[in-house]
This record gives sequence, structure tokens and C-alpha cells, in this order.
Amino acid sequence: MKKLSLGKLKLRSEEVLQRSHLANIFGGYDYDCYCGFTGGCGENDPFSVSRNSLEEALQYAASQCNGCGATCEGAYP
Amino acid sequence: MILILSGTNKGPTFILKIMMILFLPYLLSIFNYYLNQDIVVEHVYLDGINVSSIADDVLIFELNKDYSNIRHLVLSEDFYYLSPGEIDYKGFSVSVSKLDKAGTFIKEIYRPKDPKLITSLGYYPEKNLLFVAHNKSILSIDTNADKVVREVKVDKSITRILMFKNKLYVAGFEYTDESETYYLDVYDPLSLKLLDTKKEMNYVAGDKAFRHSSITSNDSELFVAMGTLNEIYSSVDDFKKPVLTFKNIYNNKPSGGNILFSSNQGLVGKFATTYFKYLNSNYFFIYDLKSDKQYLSKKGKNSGFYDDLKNTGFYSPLLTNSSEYMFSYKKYDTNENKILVVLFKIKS
Repeated sequence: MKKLSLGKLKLRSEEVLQRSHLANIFGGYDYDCYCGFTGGCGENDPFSVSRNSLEEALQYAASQCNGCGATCEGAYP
Repeated sequence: MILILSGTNKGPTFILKIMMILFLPYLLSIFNYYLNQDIVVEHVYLDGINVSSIADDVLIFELNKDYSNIRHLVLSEDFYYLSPGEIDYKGFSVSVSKLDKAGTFIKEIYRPKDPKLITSLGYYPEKNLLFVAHNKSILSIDTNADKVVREVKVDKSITRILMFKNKLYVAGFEYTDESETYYLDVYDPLSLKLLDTKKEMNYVAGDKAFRHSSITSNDSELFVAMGTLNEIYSSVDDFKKPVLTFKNIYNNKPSGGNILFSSNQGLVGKFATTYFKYLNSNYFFIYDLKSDKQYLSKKGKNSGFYDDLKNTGFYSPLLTNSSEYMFSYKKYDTNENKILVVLFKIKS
């Protein structure tokens, strides 16, 4: 069977391995988070959370925010 | 001391040196009125902290931009550089804009094709270099040409940078399955090569959640607040012992606080300042190191730092690269393509 290169498939390495898979290899991603919603006053108090996925980061951040909810975004390298 | 000296045949120079060493902490305390000081938070909550108590002046300019907030701001002699939070990036910043000192928008000087969050800005006045920190990279921009000069990847996560005495100080964290470490590194600002690790604070692995470190400075010292303690360390003793400790932040209830929210912690002008969270509220605290007067107010739309000089409302001030200024912003309507950028000239 003919081997296909990643270049011919026009795929970048991170598209072959999902971010969550990469996280398992490298030990998690950093997410920047804050309490509340975008435009709220929690924006001035960001903190970082390392988790395998955005959902996990949001879940942890929300647990620190006393019912205000949380916003997180991947702080990729 | 007399016993030690009586057993030697050293001359007066030697004795003078010994005395200098013995009295060095005392001499330092004369010049540094905050050395090894505990600041006990009294939990007297004010409806607002008047800007005039803390600052000599308020500079306000309006930008016709749909920025969600202003994440970072640094000052140079002729320009302001700011990284605005954007709705598309959930209020985080991925770009840097240049403004003149009248607050007029000049242009956006940095927005990479593959956007990534900006964690901090720094400025090197002698070389007109602007530094942009991402989670795991730092780049320098020649502000004469507004072009990226150099970019390096780093192993650790960066939360704050500051230029001080021709060196770039970089604070952040790293972790393994066994440990979590906060660090303060020093980089050569031209080559962006790591020179030294000035401080590490190590912990056993926990929640893998990290507060953002703070770095401030004055003419002679650099200060860092990092790790899981409400303490500030100084370059004067190579960051060995805290020069300032915020005590009673959690009102004698350690479980009532959360170190993740102890941010913007440092020295500005004649003040020590910090944000902190106690029970379910976030507070802005500022302490006059000369008069020992303290001010504490809940952060919010109707409390916090009140501009009684120009009557523009309440703010939550943030650190800049300057020991003279803090900044903030105001959006009256989140859907409005307009944002106020505010600079407070802090009393010294």
C-alpha cells in the first residue's frame, strides 16, 4: 500500500493528533481563565489552569468562582 | 563582637567592614521604609477609595475601538503600548496597539497570523524595544520600525515580564506530575537568552492552577509577588526574604480566601497594593507605606477606586511598567465601539 505523507494530505501535525491527544502526551495545556463572563469585572483577575481540555479547565475555574461561572481560553504556546 | 575583635590583630579598615556587615540590615531599613514589614489588613471596607488620596492626576483618553477591555499597558517616553481584550478571544488579548501621549490611536503594531494570547508587555527605553510575552514565548519589537526583531520559545509558562536595569525579568510557572513551581527568570533583552533563575518557589503537585505573578520596580529595586503566599520579595536581598507581607487578608479564616485572586500585588509610588478575594468578593487594597494609612474597597461597578478628580466613576487600577502609573479602562456599554483608557499618576 502506498504511504501518504502528511504534506501530501495537507495536514498539520496538530490536526492529525487532536489537542486532547497531545495533552495526554505532554501533560496538559495551559488555559487562562477568569470568573464571570466577557465584559464583566472578573476579566481583571485572570489565573492559569492546566487541563487536558477546555471543558475541564472551565469546570475547574468555575469551581473557584463561587457560582459566577468562568471564562477560559487556551493559552497555546 | 568585642570578643571576636579583641582576638584579632586586624586594622581599623577590617573593623569598619565588620561593623558595616553587622549594621547593614539597619542601614537598609533606613533607606527602605518597608523592609520586612507586615501590612495587616484591617478589613475596614470603604464604599470607594478616592483617587485623590492615592494619585496626583488622572489622564483619560477615549478610543473608538470595540475593545472588550485593556489587558496590558506600558509607557514609553513618547507612546503608550496596549494590548486590548477582544470579544472574539473571550476578552483576552492577541494584539498590541500604539498610541501617542495624547491618547490618539496610531496603529496596531502586532497581531500574528496565528493568534495566541498575550500574557504581558515590557518596554526597554534605552533600545526602544517592546517585549510581548505569550504563554511560552517572548518576542521583541523594534518600536522605531514597529517590526518584530526576535522571538524565542521558552519551556516555562509566562505570566508577567518587566524590564529592570537592562535585564528582562520573566515570572511564571511550570509543573510536572510531582511538583508545581513558580519562578522568576532573567533574560538578556537583546538576545532573549536566559541568563539566570533568580527565584523558585516549589510545591508538591496540587490543582495545577496558578495565580499570575506580579513584578513592579522603583529606581533601585525590583519587586516580585509569586507563589502561594501574599508576600513581596525584593532584588535588594536577591529575593531571599519577603520585604512586605500582607497579613490577615483572609480575616483569620484561611479557608475564606483564594490565592489565585491575589493579583496586581506590588509597590507603586509610595504604596503597596494588591487585589485579593475574601469569601465571595474581590477587593482592591492599597497601603500608604509612609503614613501607614490603608484603603480597602470591594471591586465593582459601584465601588472600588473612585475618580473624584474628574468624576468619571469607579475603576479597578492595574499595574503598568512604570513605578509612577497605574491604568484602568471603562466601557459604558459593552456593545459600544468606544472605550475609555485611564492613567493614574500615583503619589510618590
